[in-house]
Amino acid sequence: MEPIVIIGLLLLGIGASFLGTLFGIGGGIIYIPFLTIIFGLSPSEAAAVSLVGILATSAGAGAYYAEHGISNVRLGLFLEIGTTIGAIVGAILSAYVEDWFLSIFFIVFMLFNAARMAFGHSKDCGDVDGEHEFTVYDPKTGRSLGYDLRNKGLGTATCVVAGLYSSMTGVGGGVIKVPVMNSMMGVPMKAATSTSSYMIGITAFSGSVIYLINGTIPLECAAFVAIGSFLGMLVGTRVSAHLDTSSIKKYFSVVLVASATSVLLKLMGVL
Amino acid sequence: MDLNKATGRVLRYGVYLAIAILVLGAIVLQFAESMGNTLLNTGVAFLVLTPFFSIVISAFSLYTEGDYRWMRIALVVLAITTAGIIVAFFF
Repeated sequence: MEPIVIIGLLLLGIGASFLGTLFGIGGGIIYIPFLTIIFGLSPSEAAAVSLVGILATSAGAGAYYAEHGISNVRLGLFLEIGTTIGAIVGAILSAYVEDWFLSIFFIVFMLFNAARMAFGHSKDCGDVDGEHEFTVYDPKTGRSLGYDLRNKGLGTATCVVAGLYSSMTGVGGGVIKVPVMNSMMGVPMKAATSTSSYMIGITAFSGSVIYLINGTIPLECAAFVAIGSFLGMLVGTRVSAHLDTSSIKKYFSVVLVASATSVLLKLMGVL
Repeated sequence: MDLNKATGRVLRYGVYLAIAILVLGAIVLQFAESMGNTLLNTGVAFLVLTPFFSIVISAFSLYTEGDYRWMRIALVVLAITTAGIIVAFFF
């Protein structure tokens, strides 16, 4: 492999993972276009390499956030029930069902939540005082926030649809789960993004294990993307822990708009 | 066994080991293609399997904490994830 290609793959991994770690997204939205357009991989090869990069990000970020008491492993496992069921159903349905209807639903969903995060209350969920079911430690403020889960049924149902849509289109993951947890279920933003980072690995495992069994992962590409992802994660976790929540919300709204735009361009056949 | 620490440790050891094997594999690949590819395959396998093992450890950690409600949830995730692989493999 040419040195320039190696450097490109490393930089792609670093960039996608850094952003993914900050916002609790996998980075597939960045990996897929670059791997197909710039590096010339086929869609299935790009998907396989993307999943490996996502796994490196998720495992590393998940470890950091869990050990520092920022992510909610229990909540992540709970919501993964719905997400994984949706992903299995979506994988079966994808051969028979057009995804344009779900795409429109999620464009609206992402834009609505982008507006809420950008222009809504800057005060995050959670309380400093009182007894609560869960707590999240914020390294930026040095305080713990307590919170209780709201709308568990609605949150689970949305995650089923999120998993269904993700497996049908390869987009979704964190950009759906983070707003679901923060806006719908009352989870503080840092806990939502860090829990999403943990969850993404479980979802990516389900997809990547098939590629692994079939031996269809382009190994050299995947290796350099994974190494780059690992490096990006090391920086991203340290940076995100010290960002204030209102900044994360506003930047995440940009991510949601970018995701909605990407889905729209795919729908129009541009991407 | 604290759930967060146990889960975090499995993820940490898994990803660090996987990346170390991938770095070694990428270097060896330049001199010995077959051995290099074997190492890369091994590294990717460790990376892929790390989240699965984290769920296993999470379920065990919840069992040791006596938190059986959340342990059952972890076991359901394990079962669904395993079923999903079987479904994907045969469909």
